[in-house]
Parts: sequence; structure tokens; C-alpha cells
Amino acid sequence: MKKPMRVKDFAALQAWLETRLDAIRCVSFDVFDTLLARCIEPPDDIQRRVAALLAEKIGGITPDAAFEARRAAEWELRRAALSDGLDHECHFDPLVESWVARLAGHPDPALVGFVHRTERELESLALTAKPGALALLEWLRARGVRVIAVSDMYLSHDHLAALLADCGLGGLLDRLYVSSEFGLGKYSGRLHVRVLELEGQTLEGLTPAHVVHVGDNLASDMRAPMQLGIRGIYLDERVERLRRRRQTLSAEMAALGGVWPGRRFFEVVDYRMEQDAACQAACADFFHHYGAHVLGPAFSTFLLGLIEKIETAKPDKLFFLARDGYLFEKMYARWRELEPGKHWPEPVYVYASRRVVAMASVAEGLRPEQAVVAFYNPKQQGLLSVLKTFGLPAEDFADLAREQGFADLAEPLHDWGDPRLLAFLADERVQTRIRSIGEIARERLRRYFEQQGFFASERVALVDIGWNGTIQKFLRDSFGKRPDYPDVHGWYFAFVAAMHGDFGMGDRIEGLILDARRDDSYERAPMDFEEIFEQGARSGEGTTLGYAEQDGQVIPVLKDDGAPDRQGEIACNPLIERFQAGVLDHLEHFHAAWRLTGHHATEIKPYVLGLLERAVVYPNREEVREISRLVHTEDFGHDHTLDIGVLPIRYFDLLRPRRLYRKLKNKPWKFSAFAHFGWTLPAWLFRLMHLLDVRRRS
Amino acid sequence: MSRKRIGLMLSVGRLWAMSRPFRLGCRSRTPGFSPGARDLVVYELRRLWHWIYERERLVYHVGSLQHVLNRIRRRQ
Repeated sequence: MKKPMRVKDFAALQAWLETRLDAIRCVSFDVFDTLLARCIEPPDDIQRRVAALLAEKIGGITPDAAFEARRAAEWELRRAALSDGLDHECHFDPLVESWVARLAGHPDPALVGFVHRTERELESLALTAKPGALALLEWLRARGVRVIAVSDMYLSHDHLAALLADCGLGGLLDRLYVSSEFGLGKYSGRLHVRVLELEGQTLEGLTPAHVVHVGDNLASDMRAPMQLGIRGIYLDERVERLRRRRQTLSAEMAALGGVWPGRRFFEVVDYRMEQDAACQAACADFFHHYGAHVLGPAFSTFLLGLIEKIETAKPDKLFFLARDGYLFEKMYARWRELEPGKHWPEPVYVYASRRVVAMASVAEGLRPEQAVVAFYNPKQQGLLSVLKTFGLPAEDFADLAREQGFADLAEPLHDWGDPRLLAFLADERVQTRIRSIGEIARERLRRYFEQQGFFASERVALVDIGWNGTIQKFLRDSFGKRPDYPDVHGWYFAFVAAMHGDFGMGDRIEGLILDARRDDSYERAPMDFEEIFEQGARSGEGTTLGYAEQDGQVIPVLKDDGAPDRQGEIACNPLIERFQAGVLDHLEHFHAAWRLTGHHATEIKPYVLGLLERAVVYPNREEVREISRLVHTEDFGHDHTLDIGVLPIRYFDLLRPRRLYRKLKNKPWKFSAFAHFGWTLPAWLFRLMHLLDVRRRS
Repeated sequence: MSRKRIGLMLSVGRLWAMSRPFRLGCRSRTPGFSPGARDLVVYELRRLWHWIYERERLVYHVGSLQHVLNRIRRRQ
């Protein structure tokens, strides 16, 4: 018997084969973990997932019971094979028939077909060709060496051949031998003997010395062939083996709940993304990478939460609100393509903004509690901001404002109960003018939403990045008393409930990633840097300023591209597109991981919150430098833009922490000031100080 | 770009360190993204064990040794 032999990768194997090609006529490969790698470990988890999906389809059975039934059917077949003098191999076709009959109580060809399709789909999602495998097979074939694959596997020959074809290896194998078809395994050596016999019919005069077998299993792929005189080579890929063990460990830890299921889930996503050469190439660009690795997990988890909400509430239509609902609509459209067999509510992209609904909401007058919405603008200009927020022309109200003591309309009002403001709003002449403008705006808004099918639906959902649910509130204020006003749900990425609380909506409004009413401080990272999420999700067009009529249709009037803030936005649009391409890339792998694991949004959210905490509070220098290039506008009726980045602080500033905290606390991305230190302790201490301050204030 | 970009996978230790301000500052009622100190230790020890203990290589080297011993025995 020859000396045991091992190689560390395919390149080393090729180098070894190159010097011996004259003596080698056939190279045989193991399939799983040799030619193909799985993105999910352990492999049993795919069977568990198939069992869960079958249990869901049959109903009244737990996933564990369905899996146990499969195990029982499998062992019965294996015992029968042993008693027939074969190895303990079993074949997928009789296994599925026996399994389904056990669960359904009778043979059911439809369910058998479902199991076959599902297992094939999940295996195909899980498997990829190992890096270097394709090149090695091509190299061998180009040199006239016969290439075969031998696998110990319960799947049928055709099933496995289809999986190899899905991974791009199908045409590179001269023949495929599967243990299930022969009832013989590699581990006993009997399958290798049979393969030699059959290959001998093709290659005349073939002896074991002409064959090399490569695999990752010492017993089946090295010892057993060597006892027959075949050169067995052990593929000793340590990094890959450790990856599989780590994933198996993660799967065990996932049973603990908390952050572990999410971490396990994103290990699967991460491995798939690593194997995707196009994704890797695109990720060389910072914005694509950030979209795929930071915004992608957050937005995809939000989308999964949205899908789960849809399945529960079953709305007739989904209204994605311009502009930040733009990316969510694209993601939803893609999810529908990936899950074609289901009934999905129709998506409608509606042009609505805080400004147009605010204008409509003052058709019955402007109350002080409505007016203060304008003061949430960090660059508010007092009464001028109030008028602009509600789309009221400042020149129409200047004379009445002066009467109430406003010398300068643009003077910031830090006291939200300023007596001049209250007197101005109490003036009936002011309210008459406001009402006349508001009535026109309300009528146009009504016609626009009617045109979109809003009032013709029984139940609808508004989908947006969120924050305060202002559009949902003002729509209800404007039209809530109509008899045909639908049952409106608001499903937002984040709901901070700062401006109007939840305005009595209860569970009709929800932030799926962040909801301030849950009082879970771990969720707060999106609140500490709202701008990046708005930027990542927004469309390239301007905000909606109002509506106009054209050919009997109500069309939105968007902000002119010549406005100073629009110029900045337009310049950033290519960067936003790269963010969004990254997010959509991520979604492909996220969906595959979801199909494979079946995790719910709530299970993976804790880990996503960790990713967001890292990105918001502990950014690196490159992230701060690149993201600071973005121009952010505030939708308060002004042409303001917001500086995202903060000037870096010095070590000296750390000696006066309170002063430093006061200086930074109102900045949009305060934590960016610490990125240049290159270590995370200053940001960690600042986060602690920030959370203590939040706790004190609440 | 001098540094490798931060990807999807955060180490468990890093998650734990990032969760400390929430425990100290907010006394949060939920576990959030904290892996829990005990689970963190269990995970890291098991990962270390996987890293150190290489059953496959051990079996391979035992097999190689047996092969050498057999050859010596045959020569004798």
C-alpha cells in the first residue's frame, strides 16, 4: 500500500498531479466538501428546514415531529439495505414516499413532489463550487484525463447531477456515481470496487494504479481506496474545515436565542457573499460595500418584518411613500419575484411628503400643537418655518404677523408657547386665510390618493423610513372621518414617536427596527444617525411640494432641480445608487439565508442592532470620510442642507468631557468625531455618557 | 485602502464590549445584542478547542505512522 497523501488545496493538488499525468488515467473526486461547499452547517439543518416546510404545508404537525418521522423512515430503509447484504445506504425516492406516508397517513404524490422540489431548491441555494474546483476540472479535461465524481449521498443520481450543474460543474464530469443508486458506500470500499469495474468498461486496461481519488474524508476518501490500490488523496483544507465547525457551533448557540440566531444567520449570508465573485468585485467600491454590509442587513431585516406583517394583517395595498419608501418598494418587488407562488398585495409608490399632508391638514385651521412640528427642524426660523412647513406663503401673512409683534418672521422661536405665536394663531383673519389654502390642498390630496386607489381599499399599509408617522397622522386628520377611509397600518423602519406620540394608533403603527414605545435602548442606533438611513433609502427626485392637474389626472409637483439643496442632492445621487445596488445585492443572499434557516425578523434583529451600533457609534475613518460627502436635506419647507460629518476632536478635548458632550450632542452624527483616534475607547466612553444623559432626561 | 473594511461578522467579544454601555448606562431590561458573559466564554472556549484539536489531522498522522511502522516491520 502506498504512503498516505494529503494536499492543502486545489493548487497543491494540481501541482502534484502535473508531475504524474503520464501514469494517471482517471481522477475521481468526492462531491460534498470537496468539489462543493455548503454555506450552512450542519447539513442536517437543510433536512430540518424541509421538515419544517412540510409540517407547515400539512398542518397540525410540529417541525420536530416531521423531522423525527424522516429519521425513522430513513433508518428503516438503512436497516433493510443491511439485511439485503448491501451497505447501509438509502435512496431519496423511497425515503420521501415512506416519510410522506407516515405523516399524511397515506401516499400523497403531491406532497412527495413538494419535498423533492423543496430539498432540491434548498440544496441548490446552499451549495457553491469550491474556489479552484472549476479551474482544476477544466485543466484535467484539457489534458485528456477522465474526471469522475463519487459521492456517499442519499440523493438520486439525477438530483445530484442537477445540483452539480447548478454550481457550474455539470459539464466537467465524465460520470457521476452515487452510493444511493448502488446501495454501496465508499467507506466500505465496495462503491470504489464497483466504480473500478464500471470505469474499466470505458477505459480499457484500467487498473487501480491508474486512478487517483480525492476527498475530505479520511476513511472513505483515503483509507478505503488505498486498500484497493487506488491512490487516495486527503484534501486537508484547514480554513474551510474550521469554517464548517464554527458554523456548526453557531447553529448550536442559535438555540440559546438573543443575538445568536442573527449571528448564525449572517454567517450564512457572509459566506454566500464571499463566494459571489460579482458581489466581491462590486464591494471594492466603498458605497456598494456599505450598502451590502451595513444598510443591507438593516433594510433586509425590515423587509422581512414587513413580509411577516403582510402575512398577518393581509392589506389590500401597500403604499410606499416618496421619497424614502423608494428603495423599500424595489426590495419588495424583488422579494415578490423570489417568492412567486404567494399572493402579495399590490405596491403603489405615492408622492406624498410631510409638506403636502401638512397643507391639507390645515383645511380646518392651524392649531398650536400642529404648528410646533416646524420647530423639530434643527435650523428652524420661527414663524417663517411654521408657514413654510404648512405650505403657507409668508408674504400673505406678513402684515398680520407684524400686528402680533413679529418684527422678523425668520427669528427662531425657542419657546414653543411664545405668546406672539399663540396670538397669531388665535387671530381669526389668520385662520381664515389658512383654511382657504388648506381646503384647496386637501381637495388635491384627496383626488390624488383617490386616483391611487387609497379610498377604494378596505385595508392598506403605509411603508416608509418613518420616524414620526407624520403622513399617517395628517392623512387621518384630513380624511379620517370619511366613511370610506380605509383601515390604515403604518409599518416603518423606525418610529420615534417624538412629534405626536402614536396619536392613538396603538398597534396600527409600528417601527419594525426601532420603536420608541418598546423602550429598548439597544434599538436606538438608527435614532442617533437618522440621516444615513434616509439617504440610503431615498429616491433621486425632489420632494413633493404639491399637486397639479394634467389631462384630467392629478400629478405631483416636485421640488425644482435648480433649488440649492437639490443641486447638492443631485450631485450625490450616483453615490446613493451605489448604496442601493449594495443593499439589493445583500437582499439576494439574505433571501437565500432566510429560505435555508427560516428565521423570523425578530430572531435576527438583535444581531442587526449590533451591526447598526457598530456602524453608527464606532465608524472607521474611511466611513466618516466617505459618508460625510453626502448632502442631506430637511423636509421642512426650507432649502437647508445638513452637514453630516463633524470636525474631529483632539485628545485635549477628552479632558473636558462635559463641554465636549454639550458641543457634540446635537450634531447629526456625533460619534463620527471619534473615528480618527483609530481605537474605540473614546467613542465607547462617549456612548456611555450619552446613554446616561438619555436615561437622566427620561 | 490600508485597512480591511468591516464586514458582516462582528466578533462575539466586540458585541459584548459594545453592549456594556447599555448595561451600565441604561440598565436595559432586554438582552439586546449582548451575547451574555457566560455564553461568550462557552463559545470562545469551544471555538478555541476546534482550533486546537484537529481530529482529521490526528487520524491522518496516526495512519502515516502506521504505514511507516508496517514498512519497517516488513523489512525486518
